[in-house]
Amino acid sequence: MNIVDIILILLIAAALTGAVIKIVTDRKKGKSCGCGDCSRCSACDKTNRKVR
Amino acid sequence: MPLLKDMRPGESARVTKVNGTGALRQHFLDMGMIPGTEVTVVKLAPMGDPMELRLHGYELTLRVADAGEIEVSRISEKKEPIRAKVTRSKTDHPGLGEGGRFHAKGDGDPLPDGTVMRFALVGNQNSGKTTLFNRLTGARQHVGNFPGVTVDRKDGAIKGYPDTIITDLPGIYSMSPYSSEEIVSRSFVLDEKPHAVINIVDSTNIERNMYLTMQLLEMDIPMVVALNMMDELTSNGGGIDINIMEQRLGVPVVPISAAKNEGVDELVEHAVHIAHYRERPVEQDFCGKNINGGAVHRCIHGIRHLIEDHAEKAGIPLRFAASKVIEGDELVISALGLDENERDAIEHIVLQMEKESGLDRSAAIADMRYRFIMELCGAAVTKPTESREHLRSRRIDKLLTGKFTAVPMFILIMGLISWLTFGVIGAWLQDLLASGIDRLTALVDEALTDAEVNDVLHGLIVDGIFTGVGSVLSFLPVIITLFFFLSMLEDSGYIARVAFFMDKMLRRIGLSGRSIVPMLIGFGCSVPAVMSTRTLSSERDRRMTILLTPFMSCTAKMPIYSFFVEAFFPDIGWLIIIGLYLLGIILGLLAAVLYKGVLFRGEPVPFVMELPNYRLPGAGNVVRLMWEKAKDFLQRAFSVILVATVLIWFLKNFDLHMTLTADPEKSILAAIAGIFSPVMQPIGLGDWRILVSLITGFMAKESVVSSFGVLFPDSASMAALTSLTVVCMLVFSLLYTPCVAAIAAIKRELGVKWAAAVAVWQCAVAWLAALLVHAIGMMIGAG
Repeated sequence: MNIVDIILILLIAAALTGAVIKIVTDRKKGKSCGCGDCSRCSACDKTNRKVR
Repeated sequence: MPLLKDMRPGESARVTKVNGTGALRQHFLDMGMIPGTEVTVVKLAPMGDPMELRLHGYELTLRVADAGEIEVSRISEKKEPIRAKVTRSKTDHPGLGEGGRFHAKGDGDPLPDGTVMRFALVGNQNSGKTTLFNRLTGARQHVGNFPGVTVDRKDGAIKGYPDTIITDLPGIYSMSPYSSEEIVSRSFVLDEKPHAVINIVDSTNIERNMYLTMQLLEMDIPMVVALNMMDELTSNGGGIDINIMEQRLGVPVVPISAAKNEGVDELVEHAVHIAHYRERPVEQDFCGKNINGGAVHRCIHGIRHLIEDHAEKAGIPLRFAASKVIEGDELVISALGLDENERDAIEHIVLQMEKESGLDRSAAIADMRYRFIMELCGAAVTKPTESREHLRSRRIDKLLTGKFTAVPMFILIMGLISWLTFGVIGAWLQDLLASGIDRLTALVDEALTDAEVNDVLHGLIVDGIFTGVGSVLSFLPVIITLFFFLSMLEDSGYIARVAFFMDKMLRRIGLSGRSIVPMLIGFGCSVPAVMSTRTLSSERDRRMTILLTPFMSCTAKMPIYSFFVEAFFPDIGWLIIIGLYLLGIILGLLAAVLYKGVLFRGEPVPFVMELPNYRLPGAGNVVRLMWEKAKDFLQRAFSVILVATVLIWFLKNFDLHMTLTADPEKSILAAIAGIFSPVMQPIGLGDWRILVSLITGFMAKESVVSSFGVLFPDSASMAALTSLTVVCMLVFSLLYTPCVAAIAAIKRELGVKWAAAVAVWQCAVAWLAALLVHAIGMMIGAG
């Protein structure tokens, strides 16, 4: 395993960790349902939170 | 006595009596359909029902059967309003809501310093509340040009005033709520007791808008009236004498244009002033001593005295309580806790009023309010003959809602949108992006080879991440293009017209025309579609519409369609995609017939809706919506889809002993998915790789494509799939359970049982439809 492998593994691990954290926190807080229509819909409280 | 339903287009009549009962009748009265009102039939919808009427300077649509409840007397010759030059004597500015020389109220009882002032933004539907809210707070809430865009409250602080909270509420026509989102607004004003109300009034449609103002004044809450769209009124030669308006209403009146950000600063100053100094409306007595011999006036004042102690105890404004008691509002009556003698006394007073005025209780109250409004508008408002916007709308409507042109134009518009999205603009941009992603993948592949990166890691990056995420990313332009067109439909005002001419057709399957709005939004995304059903006034229609939204192909399903048709049917790709959209609609219609017969017996709600003028969609609004969609899509690609892709790659490349395997058939994924394969075997989707792709679609539909890309990495592996299998896959993807976000939205609206039922039911429908397609395919030898 060379240095490039190690760097790539670390990068992938960081990306995956970030993605998982985002999914979990978003769902936990009800921050975003992922529909992409936050300005129109109040299904989640993302908008309220942001505006407040 | 002739009925409104017997009138022909172009004929005018005066309303003599409004029959019927309950909420619908009250809604008619609130919308200005009261005895004495002049009504002109503009047109009938292409299928002869509903009808479009013009009254109080705006367009209202209602069903012919409901128009049968309204008695009229024909007007042989309709008098066109004469635009006479009105000369008014100069009226002093009353100076309400500011520290001027007439500052007479609120001096002694300001709010304690540091109090967070709460404001409610209240007004009719489509009067520009959210546009104003965005101006006031700097928020970017979605605005549209059809009644009922906002379905829930939204809060924010006014810019430059951190100690304030302003709440944008769904539009209401009166304080007698008609649909579930209207209840949100009434409850907010009544129960949460904001420090002040900003009542936004569409000045181009002032009579009907002021009806709500009258009721808000009765609430005895500090209030400022914002006359919105003044730019439109004045540019068409109209005008409003603000001083007269302010003097008669007894609250500050500020002309504004929320869209152009004119007058908003002044509005804020007045609103903050009245809230801080608790300046309540000066005048509430609009009942007119001499109208109908003073019958209504004496009735209201008599009842005020009778219920004064109850209203104080219940915390309901006295004048508002008196009006509501007369109208027979059960919620208010029970909140007051009147005893039997008091109820009897009130009933006698009301009966006497009905006898003297010649009007029933609800009509008498509505008549009292509209009389005041007409008198006020006569004194303060100079109306333009016909606004340019209305003239333009009439011309466009000749084509878009014409008897013989409405449905063909609708089909043409939808066809054009599909063609431009899937065949021209979106497809071209998608090809461009896909070739860019391919080039980048090749570069990375080359770089990894040069760097002698470990084979497993190389495979994960190129065959896993780049193939999976990249395959989804390339569909971004198509989704954005479709959203662009959907947003244009919403913002232009066309969507309300579609509801108008589709009503009769939808009624046959047990729905009202208004259900078309959530369904059209459903082509974008099911979550806001489910939320937008709140504008429907009956629970039955709401449930039924929610159950139908999964049949509409949301944009997240588009990558699935595009991916497969490009690979298997490149020459007739966009035709197949349109076919899938149509299949969803047709099966939705069949499901509606089934729901109507089994789950939701009964009649759909009456169709009463205002038709707004067409407006040019705001570029900022459209761009903002597209940007939001793009941003969220990218976020999803690099979160849910990235994780799913890596997970699928891992499970596909390792066996149950956690050792790397070159044969995917021995992988963990094959072992798990193989258990469920027999269920999908009859519909031709028994391959475990297909099953895995479909399962990942529950998290986000786009994941089907990324997982598929990982599981079928090259054209050789895809060659194992027949055309029939792909068609079955497409049909199943079209219909099976909505994604987790949509199911969560359904759970919020209807409860956990309904949400679970929808997920299971949609899977069953998808399975049956795919089985049918598979069976037909096998019969004709397509397998």
